[in-house]
Amino acid sequence: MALDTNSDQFMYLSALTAIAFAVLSVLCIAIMVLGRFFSNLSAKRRQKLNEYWMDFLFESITREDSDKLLASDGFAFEKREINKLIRKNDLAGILHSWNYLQESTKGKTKDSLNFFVEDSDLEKRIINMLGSRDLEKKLLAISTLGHIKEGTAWPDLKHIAASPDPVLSTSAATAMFRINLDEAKKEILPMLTKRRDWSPVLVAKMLEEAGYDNISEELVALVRSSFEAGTEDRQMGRLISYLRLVRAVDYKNLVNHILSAATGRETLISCLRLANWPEALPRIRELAKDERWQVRMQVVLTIGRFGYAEDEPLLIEALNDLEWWVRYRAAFALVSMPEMTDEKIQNLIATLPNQFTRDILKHVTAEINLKCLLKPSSFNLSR
Amino acid sequence: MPAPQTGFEPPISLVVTAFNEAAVIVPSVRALFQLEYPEFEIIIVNDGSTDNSLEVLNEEFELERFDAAFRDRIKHKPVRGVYQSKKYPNLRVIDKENGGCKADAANAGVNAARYGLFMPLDADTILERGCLRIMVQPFLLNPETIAVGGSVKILNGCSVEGGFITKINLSKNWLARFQILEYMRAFMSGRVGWSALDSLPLISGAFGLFNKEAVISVGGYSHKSLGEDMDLVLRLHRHYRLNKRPYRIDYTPDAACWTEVPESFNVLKRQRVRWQRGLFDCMWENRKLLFHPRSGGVGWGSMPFSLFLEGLSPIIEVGGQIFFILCFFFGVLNYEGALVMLALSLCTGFLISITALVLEEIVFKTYPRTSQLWMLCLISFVENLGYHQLMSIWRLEGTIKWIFRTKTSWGTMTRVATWNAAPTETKKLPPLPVKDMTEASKINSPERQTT
Repeated sequence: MALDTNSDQFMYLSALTAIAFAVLSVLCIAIMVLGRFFSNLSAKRRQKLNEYWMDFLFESITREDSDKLLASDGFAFEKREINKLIRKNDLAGILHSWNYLQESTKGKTKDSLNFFVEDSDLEKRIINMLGSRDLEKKLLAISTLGHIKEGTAWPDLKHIAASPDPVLSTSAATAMFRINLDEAKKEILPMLTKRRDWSPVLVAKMLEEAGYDNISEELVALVRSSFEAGTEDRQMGRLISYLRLVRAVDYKNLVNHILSAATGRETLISCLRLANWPEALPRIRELAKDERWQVRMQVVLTIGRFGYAEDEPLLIEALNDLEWWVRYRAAFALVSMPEMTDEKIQNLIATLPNQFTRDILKHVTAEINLKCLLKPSSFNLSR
Repeated sequence: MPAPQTGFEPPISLVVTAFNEAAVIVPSVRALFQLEYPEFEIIIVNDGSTDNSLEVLNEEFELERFDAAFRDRIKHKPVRGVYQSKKYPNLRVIDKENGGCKADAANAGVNAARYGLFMPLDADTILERGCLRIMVQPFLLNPETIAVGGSVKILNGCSVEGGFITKINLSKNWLARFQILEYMRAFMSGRVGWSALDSLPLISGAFGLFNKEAVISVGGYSHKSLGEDMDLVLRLHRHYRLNKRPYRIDYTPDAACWTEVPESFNVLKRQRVRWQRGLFDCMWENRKLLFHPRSGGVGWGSMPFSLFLEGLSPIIEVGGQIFFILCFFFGVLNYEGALVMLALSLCTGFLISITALVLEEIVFKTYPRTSQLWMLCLISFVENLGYHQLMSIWRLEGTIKWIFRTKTSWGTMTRVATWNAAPTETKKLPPLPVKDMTEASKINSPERQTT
């Protein structure tokens, strides 16, 4: 017997639900299609805009002293008129091209590009972009303001540098370094201790841009104060690793001190990577017995860089280490010692009692012969 | 923007597992060399191929055998030889006996990997040039990150030259087209959602970046499970959560790889049956995590979801469909009622697929032409007219086979590689001398390590 579904509430509800889902689906399709339509229009416009404004930007580089710029369509514009020509939605596209040129060029070309923005009176509009919800616009604005060294944007940039978003905050910090190096050193360097979420790649780029000589003293002071304050080991390791961006003479005493006093793994590894002077050797040799293999590995690498002939037994002993990476790097260090000749290596391979030690030496010499030896990497996640 | 290298980028080992991949291995590896990343090595694991994969690699990359001494921290079948490329210092080939599963090959690659991060790849996977930079970001932003997954997109129908995609197209094959929507649903909604809840249950075996020590600490890839990728991630969750160690497993939708999907019913069926069995294998092997007090979002969210809504749902779906048909034919359900139920089922499936498509369109716009968008909308509807039901039946078959422990295997994925613009000429080459590595592998075994 068939059920009478005409008065069945469940069927009625199901039908309504099906209709609602169908309507929602059609709405979604409509949104997508319209969105695609406008997005295509916007992309075409942006491409045309880029081509048009790239000409202006190249003009501004080559005819820096002129008050007029010649567009590709033959019209000449006064630089101060350019602000009026740029529509609100087009500014981000132009800034993208501008920033691309800034990042790709050096020296006077960068200054010429800065003049273009200043002469066109675009600063205020770019500062307004800092308040945009669009991440791309915000980042473009931050980067541009940094390049043109716009001092009035300082409070906004300082606020963004303190924000929890790591990409925005590092971009703002980089911009602050470009605008006012001395003030940025006071504001941003202390943040390096606290911001675990800041990518070391972006921080390194920021500090490199600031210039080794300009930040050396403050960076060394920061590392010293952070160590004395008992900063957590991993963060301490990162801070010390940034010292490789400055001159060794500036950090040598500090690194020696930390190397003697520290016990944290990452801290020790970072110090060992930097250590390149004979005074550190006694402590380095001590660390060859450290229970952590990452430390032992770094010890053999460091000794391989500048150790003496009397360190050969230490390296040969390290060939027996239980950890493959320690053996591998010890073999590499041994083979790289200046006094180590091919004959000596072959003699070692023939006479060492342990199969593991012989195997690893053979492995490393084979890699050297095939020119495929792995260079030690600077970052802690490597081996 | 131009991205200068700072030297702080952690180096990565790309572990490419290959079984009978002579048709695609060379262009794939060539493409890997063009990745925009400062330091990485490529380890190709030739898993006992019966075609001339090794000879093809030798001819292209000038391999030379050398006495590698690396430690087998994870068990796998014996290695027959290790070859170093004389042309490319960062390319190495591990030739080993076939292990019967991808897990065995991947473990050999993990053992041989020299860097702290490794990325397991299939031989036919195509990576986007900047993907390594994107995938490594979570490791830099959060030092506790142990694994990161990326998106997988469908290569079928696309044009590839020099190992890179030159044109994105939809495949003409309808099975491949349906799979596009499936992958979109999985990656755009599923993975993003679970990652935000810190409960990502799976990083696709085709595309993930792992901390090598973390993977070794849980014993590497499992031979027992057919879903070795999901099993690894669940074991990582289990190990770290139950031992109260801080960690993070993340997902970056921006990083994408492209891979070929089955275009024939037989191969697709084998894959889906295997996936379903793999799902239950993973749930069973990691059942300790399910509803454990310390399991958090994984044990109380993503695992139950996977088990009930993906694992057991075929039983309900297929049962429901059979019940529906029987009710209609025996007059229990009248014509109007049947239409309403059918419409509800179709519209629900349609809406779910369209939602994933909307997300894809907002974020990525992978398929550039509007005609492709219309086609995807059509596919979203059409897949509910048989394809989805077929998948349910196959998944049910997988469930039954798992329950009755019916033997199954990986089978053979027939590489069509129609996207490969310059197929490698497979000439007859003299075989490479195969040294008996039995003694060498004993030397490197864990037993010999402890003195």
